[in-house]
Amino acid sequence: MKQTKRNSKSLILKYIIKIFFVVNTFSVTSISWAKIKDILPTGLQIGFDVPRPLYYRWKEKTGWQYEVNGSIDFKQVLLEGDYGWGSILRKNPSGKRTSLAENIGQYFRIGLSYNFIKNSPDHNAAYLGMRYSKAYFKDYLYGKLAREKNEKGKEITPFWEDDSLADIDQQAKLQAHWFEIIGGVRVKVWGWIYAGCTARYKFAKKITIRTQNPFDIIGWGMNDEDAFGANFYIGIRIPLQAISSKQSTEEIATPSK
Amino acid sequence: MRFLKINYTHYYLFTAISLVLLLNFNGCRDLQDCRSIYTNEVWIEFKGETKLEINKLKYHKPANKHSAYKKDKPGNEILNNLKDEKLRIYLHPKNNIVSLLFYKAPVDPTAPKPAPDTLTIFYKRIFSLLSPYCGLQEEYIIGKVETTFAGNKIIKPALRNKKYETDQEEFKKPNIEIYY
Repeated sequence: MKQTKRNSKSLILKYIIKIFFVVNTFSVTSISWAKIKDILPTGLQIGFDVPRPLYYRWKEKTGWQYEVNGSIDFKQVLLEGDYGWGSILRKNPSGKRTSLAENIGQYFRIGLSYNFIKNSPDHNAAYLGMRYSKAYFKDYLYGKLAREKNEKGKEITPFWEDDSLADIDQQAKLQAHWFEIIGGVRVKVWGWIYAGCTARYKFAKKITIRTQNPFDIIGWGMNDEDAFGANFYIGIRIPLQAISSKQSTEEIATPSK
Repeated sequence: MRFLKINYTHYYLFTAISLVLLLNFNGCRDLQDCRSIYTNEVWIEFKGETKLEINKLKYHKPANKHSAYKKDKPGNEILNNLKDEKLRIYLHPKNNIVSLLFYKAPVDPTAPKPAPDTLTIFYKRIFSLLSPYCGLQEEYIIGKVETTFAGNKIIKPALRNKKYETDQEEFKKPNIEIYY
């Protein structure tokens, strides 16, 4: 009898331990899953800068430029990347000294942003971030050297006769990289369609191989010490965590006690 | 009801930022200003314990660059450019080398003339568009200096117009120092 009682006790203990392990395992898994959900992306956005080609082609009259934008939302953090391509042509107005500079190439930007709008049911975003950018381009240069001018704007007779007036015709494959501080807003327009705008301050530019100095750099703009830029884009945002977004909507709708 | 819950602040923010960005950021450079920040004028300063006695100074044709030097410029004497141990010379816009000959005043007029001292400047030229209205410009960067004087030091390799030297200390420095 004693033996049977001992056996049944040990059996019960075994079951209790098993149940404890199962419950524990389930609870651990559920915590991990919640944590994993927090880490997983909530949405993917792909956009196109619509006014960019029109602005550079018809207003600036420097050629076509295009840019696409991609973004993955991780709760408050956005992993963003841009890719752009096109050309920037500068040509002398009629009646002026012959000169032409063209910059043709492509660039990309990659970086992180922090979204300051929390739990927006529409997944609107107001963000600040940093970007690393790199451009690969060909730079063409053609024309005559400008006559040096004095402080009053009068031409100085060159010391070396008219050698300086010979035509220059050269091209070079160059690279440039720089950093950007960006700020922007993204708002829902309708359904999955979103509109956004980003302002950029570009700085710390370096031209890696320097055989000629480009007037413009694709993705950067006019080759100055620093530059500002802006993008307006329209795109679609594909939700990757539909349930969690619903939950957050409900959280917003129900005020906390 | 769902419509009423939209947070319009985001949309106001979007509109405000869009309007600000519509202002043109590109209009900062005056494209009709044809004054270049670059120059081909080099400032050389001679440093020695005694006064530098030179009675003839001229450009010298480098052996392999005959065709690029036009007319009589290379033979021209530029002694007037040498004042108070300071010399201003011009780099050639189509070469990467400029040479000078310095003829010292003989101590004994009857003795045979000593060989002149030489100064050769090797430099890099970088082209760029000054502006579509003005044409192209050249930037000069001194790479190496060779001389028969006692020594030399490149202080400011990039040649800039004086009026664009913002730093007063930099403004006072020559491009090259020659020790004799």
